[in-house]
Amino acid sequence: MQATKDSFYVELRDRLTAVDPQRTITIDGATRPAIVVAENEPPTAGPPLCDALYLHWGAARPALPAAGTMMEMECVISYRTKGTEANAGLDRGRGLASLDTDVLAICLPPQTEKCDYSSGTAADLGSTIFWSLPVFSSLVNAPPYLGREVSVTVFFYPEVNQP
Amino acid sequence: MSNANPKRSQMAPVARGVRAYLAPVGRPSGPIVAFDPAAEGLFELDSPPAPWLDLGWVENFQRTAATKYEALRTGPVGNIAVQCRTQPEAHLEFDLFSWGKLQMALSGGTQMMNVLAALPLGQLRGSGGAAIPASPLQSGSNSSSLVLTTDQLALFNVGDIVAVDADYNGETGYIGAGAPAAYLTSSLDVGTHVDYIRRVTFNLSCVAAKTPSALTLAQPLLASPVVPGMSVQRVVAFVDREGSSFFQEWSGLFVVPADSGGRACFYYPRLQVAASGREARQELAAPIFSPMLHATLRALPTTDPNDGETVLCYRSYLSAANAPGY
Repeated sequence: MQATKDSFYVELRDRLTAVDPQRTITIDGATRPAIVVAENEPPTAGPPLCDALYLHWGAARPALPAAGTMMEMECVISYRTKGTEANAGLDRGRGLASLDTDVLAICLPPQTEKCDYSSGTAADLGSTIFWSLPVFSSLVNAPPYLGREVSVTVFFYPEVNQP
Repeated sequence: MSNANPKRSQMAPVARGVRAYLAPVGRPSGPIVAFDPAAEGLFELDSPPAPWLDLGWVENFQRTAATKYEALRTGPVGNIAVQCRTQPEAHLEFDLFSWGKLQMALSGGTQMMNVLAALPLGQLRGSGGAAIPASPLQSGSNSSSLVLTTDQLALFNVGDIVAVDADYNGETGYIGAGAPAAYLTSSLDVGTHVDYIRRVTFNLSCVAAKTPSALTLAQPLLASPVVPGMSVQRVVAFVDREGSSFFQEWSGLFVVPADSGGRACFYYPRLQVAASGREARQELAAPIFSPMLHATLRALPTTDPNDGETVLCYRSYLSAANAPGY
């Protein structure tokens, strides 16, 4: 499953860099694309940053219970914004729409090759992962923040028990 | 050793899937592969005994017996005196998740063609245009390794599917190494159909690796040993054709391995297609779906050498441990 999680993240990260190169965050002095896997952050990490995409991995289950080994795993992409100080937060709606647009853009096409990143470099595992179209939750208004969660189901063949 | 406490609970199999296997039938009157439950019944599902070929798990497996039962009546009120069976017939339907040469052949039922890698700017054809010339196999080739000259080796890459068979020399009847792949009622023009046998053959595999002199195959070829005169060509796609006259015929073995122990096996010595190919739709999460190959097959009769009875299908059950006999 780790290869699936890593491949999904790397693909979305690379796409975000391509479609919105200005959307970056700085953590511990390092600037990087504004997409984060929550479970890969240190336990002492602070609250989620604004204007960044957080991937939260959820339940996994067999996709076709009777045959084959295909599985599906839930992924929730959460994000929030409070707009800009220059506009006194009045642009937070537009900021959220911009994040929505980025999520839509990076989720298509809905497939990528599955690679093993455990060695630090990508090793092609010879299969693909693919995912459902993103489902956007209602807008969450928690002043000063405006946020949303997007659900995606990722399908994959696990690395074990593959003939 | 003793078994003083056989358990009736062990008589109720609980399963979660049906695994399918095929074996070639020697046509028109050649050998039919036997499946002997005593010798082979508990084989490892991923490693079936030769020459059975693994088709993978199937869905919606449904057997139907269509043999007619007749009653002969006698006397003034027409009491049944005796019953008899006529027109033995059995059908079989299932869906295949996996798409491949064998899977498409079984579900489509017609002649299954290999679309060979074609020459650029050649004439376009539905089943493939003029192919890149075949690469002759060199000595040392076997069913898992194809030795080629250096220049020919460069034509192939890891991951390619390759077809291995002889050049066409005007043969008629059933053709194809390893399994009958087509039937020719009359000769084709040899000059323009030199690749015809490789266009239909089941003798194919995927290139798993390349050595300095050979292609290493991921799965062994059906026909072993490799015979002199065979050549190899790259296969780009598989295609079958509605309207084709050929009937696929294979022996079929379907295994229901029970998680609770025990195993049911359904052995069909001769299966032919009974309906044209179509696809079934398995929804995953709309609009994502899996297009499954639907197979509709008819069992043909054979004779059991033990007693001469006509047989369409054998159903065997290998009991679970500690299961009583009845």
